[in-house]
Amino acid sequence: MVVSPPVQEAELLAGLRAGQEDAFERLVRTHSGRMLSVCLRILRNHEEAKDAVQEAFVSAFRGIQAFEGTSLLGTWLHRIAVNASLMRLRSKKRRPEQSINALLPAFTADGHARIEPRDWSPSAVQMVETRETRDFVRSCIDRLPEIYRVVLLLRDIEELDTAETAEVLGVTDGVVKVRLHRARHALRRLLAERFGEGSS
Amino acid sequence: MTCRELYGFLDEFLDGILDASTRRHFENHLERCFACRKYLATYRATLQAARGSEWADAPPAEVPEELIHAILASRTAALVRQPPE
Repeated sequence: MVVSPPVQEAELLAGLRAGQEDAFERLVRTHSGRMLSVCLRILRNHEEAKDAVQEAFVSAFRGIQAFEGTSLLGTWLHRIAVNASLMRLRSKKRRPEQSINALLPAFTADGHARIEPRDWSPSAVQMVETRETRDFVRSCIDRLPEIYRVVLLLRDIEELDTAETAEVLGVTDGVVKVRLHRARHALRRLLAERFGEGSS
Repeated sequence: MTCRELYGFLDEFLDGILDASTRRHFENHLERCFACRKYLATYRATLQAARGSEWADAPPAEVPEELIHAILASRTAALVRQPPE
């Protein structure tokens, strides 16, 4: 999120509310890069992401008079970009949802874990230090079934809280918690494959 | 507490929101279960890897100049369609 000094932010907001052309251009030039990044993360397609950014700004332009300034403009725009991306995602022809069950931990009848995990955590921390391994982690996130991938992105990457995530997805807090929990276990499993951990 | 139950409480444990009684059972299980300690370590590492890899602090995407122009043009077009009262 772009954090502007309060005075600049107030000046920009005043200009936007007054309908000044240069204020709108400043808004777009300052925030569109981060918004495009957000849309790309959710939509994974450059053309779709560009369209979503444009739609997000159209919504923002319409809503600027109602924006109360209780959050930073960047935070407000971030939320609008997330919403625009999710709208696009919903409107796309849906692939049949894959099951996540094969990626979840398995247990014996008496509740013990079926496989003994290896402790690959030190390697995972090093994982994000190179471009190649960051790409690998991202590819694992992309392998999650859509509804789980989106919740993981919104909660763990975009840092929306549970209630915010539930609101933008139109589901309950409980659904968000369950999906996030499963998404994290499944992602752990996908990362573990790289370290030679057995199948459960 | 079984391994299955412990796995179910991992998020609450990491968020520090387990009630005292459940936390005690959770920690007692961890003390005697090496497998769950390893699972917790790798679960925590998974979250770190996701957050570290997923562009959270990445520089903004390059925005093509034509997209900026298209965004600004869409505002102008909207103004033409809906002149201020």
